[in-house]
Amino acid sequence: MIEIERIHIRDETFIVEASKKVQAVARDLKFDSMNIVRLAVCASELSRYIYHYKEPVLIIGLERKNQDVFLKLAFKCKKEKSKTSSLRFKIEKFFDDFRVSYTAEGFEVLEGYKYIEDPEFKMTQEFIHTEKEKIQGLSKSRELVALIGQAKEQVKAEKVRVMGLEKLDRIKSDFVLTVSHELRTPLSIIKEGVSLVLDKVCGKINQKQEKILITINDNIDRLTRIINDILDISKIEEGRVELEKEFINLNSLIKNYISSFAIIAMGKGLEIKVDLPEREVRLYIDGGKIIEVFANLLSDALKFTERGYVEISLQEKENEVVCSISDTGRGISSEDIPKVFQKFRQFGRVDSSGEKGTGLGLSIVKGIVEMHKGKIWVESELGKGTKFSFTLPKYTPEMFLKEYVSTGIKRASENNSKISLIVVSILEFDKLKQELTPVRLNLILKDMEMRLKHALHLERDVAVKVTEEIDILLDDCGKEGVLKVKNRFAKILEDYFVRKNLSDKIKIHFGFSTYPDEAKDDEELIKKAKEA
Amino acid sequence: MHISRGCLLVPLQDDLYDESILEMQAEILEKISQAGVKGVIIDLTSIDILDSFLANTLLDTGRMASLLGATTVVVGIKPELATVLVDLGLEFKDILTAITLEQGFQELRPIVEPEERPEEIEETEEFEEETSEDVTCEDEI
Repeated sequence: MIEIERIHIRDETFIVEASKKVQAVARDLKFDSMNIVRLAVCASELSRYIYHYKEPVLIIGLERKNQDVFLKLAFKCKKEKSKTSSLRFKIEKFFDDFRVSYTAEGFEVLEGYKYIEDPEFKMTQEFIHTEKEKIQGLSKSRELVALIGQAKEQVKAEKVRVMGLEKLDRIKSDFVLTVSHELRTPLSIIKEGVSLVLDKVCGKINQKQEKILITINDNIDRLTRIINDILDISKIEEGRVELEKEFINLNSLIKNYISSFAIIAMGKGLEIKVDLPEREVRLYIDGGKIIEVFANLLSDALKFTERGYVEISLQEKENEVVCSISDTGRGISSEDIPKVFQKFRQFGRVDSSGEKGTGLGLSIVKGIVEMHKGKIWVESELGKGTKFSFTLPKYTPEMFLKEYVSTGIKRASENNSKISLIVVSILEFDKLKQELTPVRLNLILKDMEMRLKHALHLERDVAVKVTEEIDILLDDCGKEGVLKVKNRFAKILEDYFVRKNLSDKIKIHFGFSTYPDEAKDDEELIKKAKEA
Repeated sequence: MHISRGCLLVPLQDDLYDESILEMQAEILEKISQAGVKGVIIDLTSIDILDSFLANTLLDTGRMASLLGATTVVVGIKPELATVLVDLGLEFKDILTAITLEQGFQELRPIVEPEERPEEIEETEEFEEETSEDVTCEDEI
């Protein structure tokens, strides 16, 4: 602990002194007015409590606990152990943590901890961690308190600045959305009108008129694609695209999609080659968005290849899968390669056949890959061909669970609701592996997973087998709800084990935790549910 | 402290030690019995911190004043203090409260009537003494 002040409560005048000192330190540490008053009143009340005993002293300091920094108020006095004190119970609620302990010398120690700032304030922890020498060199600890107070002010100012920028961002994206929607309506009307004339509904048209109208129609389509792409890229950049992830067999996804491109390739006299692993590659992805990625890259490859082939390949690595689309087309120059993923960039497209691009396709592709926590890059040589590659991470069940819990917590905090995590584990798992064989135990767990999945009521609830346990995430469910669900699950599994004659062999343990009541973030929720 | 609009006004300052709080209590009771005021306003506008000792002393003062025929209103409690007081279980029952000094006066107005201010009561008593000596039955006839 870094000690800031030590006050011996010699007489009643020091009670006021203690309260004032705590008030001053809390003010320097930029606590809000409510907490300043609370801490000062606590100091006064607890000083009165210890004042009647021998050697009463109040120590004000800073202490690190786990990753957090706390203002610590420690009240010490020499007295025998006492039973409960109603004062202490009242005071407890004003602190983030409160402890009572007794030393070997007969001192009662009451310690109250008040968290200095919300979790976004990292500087205090970093400051104390990295500036140890500076802290120890300070002649007065009050200088440290003043420094921390200044740092907090800077962080608050930065927060205000960032909030201002975020507001500006929102105004910009709302503008983009509104303008794009406003442009779509007149475009639809124009297209409808042109189509009516082209279809000769309004009367005959000559060849020259037809040619002009076709050009107009093509450009309307192009404008529409540009608007849609602008909307897409805007949403991606704002982080407003919610991926609908599920476990998908990537081999099947690619094979099903390729067939629609085969016809275009045949028309151009090009070959489509496919190089996929024999083993099924299951990834946790948004199938629709990944198809969009393949569609964009394949479409570009076919557009800019006059002869030869277009190849799609998948390469499975330890933690990821590498997807590549390569062609024997005209290629991209080395000066243009760094700009390939920039918005509204098109390279050597002017004379190409087929529809013109919007210049946003590759930006969108990059956005989608990065939303999946993958990377994308290009290799190319002018006149020889181009190869676009991107990675998609392989998801272990642990990664899936953490991501699912994170998304759930984010949704709960936006909706001001709760989520709960239940961890179902088999006791003495290692011992059972000897008795039942790992294969059989794995099958039992899969069976349990399936039964629990069927018992889930809400669409967003999920159950997943994670190595030796089954984790169930319940959306919009607090402590009371989770107890009911847990009891229902216990009954389901009990019936299952009875039917399989496993009741004597397998014992189940249920652990659970709720956000935000018991856990502040995804890691804490998972940890507390496993330890419960 | 002073008398204003028929009420004893007691503005408390910060940095009150236990001894001075008890002295203040004694002074309030003395003033009530000397001046015969019916209303007491204790102003906490300048008080940032209020612990159980001060809170309980104020409550006791209110009860004691009531025994002397005076009603007490506590004004100027800050919102943060109010929250902490309730959390500590120190509610101001048996004592009136108001947000501002003016509201405190309004609260006591029905109790403190201006024509019965202490100095006027003394004058009326003198006048009655004089007239009672002058008028006799023989004069009336």
